[in-house]
Amino acid sequence: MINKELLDILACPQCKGPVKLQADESGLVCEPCGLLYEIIDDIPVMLIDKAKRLGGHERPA
Amino acid sequence: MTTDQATEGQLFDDWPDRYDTWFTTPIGKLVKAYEAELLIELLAPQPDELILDVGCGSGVFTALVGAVRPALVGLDLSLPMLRRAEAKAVGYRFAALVGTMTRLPFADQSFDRVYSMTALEFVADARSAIGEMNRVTRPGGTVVVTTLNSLSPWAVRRKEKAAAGHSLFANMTFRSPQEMSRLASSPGTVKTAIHFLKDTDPGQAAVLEEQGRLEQKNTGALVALCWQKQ
Repeated sequence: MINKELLDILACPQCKGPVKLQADESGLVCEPCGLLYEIIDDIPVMLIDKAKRLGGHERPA
Repeated sequence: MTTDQATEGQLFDDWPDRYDTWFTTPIGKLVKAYEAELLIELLAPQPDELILDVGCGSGVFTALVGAVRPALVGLDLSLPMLRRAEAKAVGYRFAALVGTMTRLPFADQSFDRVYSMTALEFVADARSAIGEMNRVTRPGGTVVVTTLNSLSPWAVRRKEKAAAGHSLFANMTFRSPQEMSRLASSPGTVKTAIHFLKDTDPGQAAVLEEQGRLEQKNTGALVALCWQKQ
């Protein structure tokens, strides 16, 4: 489980803005960047290159 | 994250066993003890503070700082290394995250103290990494960054190993105390430790360490930079 203390300080590594925990706690979303950072075995993977791009936010590489 | 860093993550994924085993050898134990002593002296962690370990690896130093009972966050590129760190930090307030030093996934001024033990040598852009550590530290907070000293005989040996094809050492950048001093975000302190060699008789190592400390030698294998966030 991701604790609240950690969630309060976690930020998107790209824009440094806040990230939102998904309801099923499977990932953290940065809405402005359109990126989903997966949580694997309770460990958030906060790498831009490993993040999933969310629909409508596709950007050229 | 760059492709280089992705390769780096995979590089470390193969290393947890070998890395932890080195610290259990007689000379490895002394290295760990002296490195730990310098870290604790400079970082001065306090109970209930929020502290970040950048490049925590398998948690060798995470467990040590955790003993002071802060809330600790460990960041590393390698998931297998982080699982090791979690196992060492059982019973501590510890959270693990995969991330890269040059793009820390935290809001500004999040931590009371931030430290990084021998991780900067794997980063080409040291200025970005150090800028990031400064950014996430609260004003008045302490930052401690240690890395491998280019002036140390250990660096010469590691460069020889790199030339002979050692995958881990081939990816390292060694830095001098002067170079580290120039990287500080605010005027800081630079010290070195580990004034003996890998093949020094363990009984002799304590004498050499004390001598190096008294003479304030700048050739210790580990160079530590410390500053207060302004």
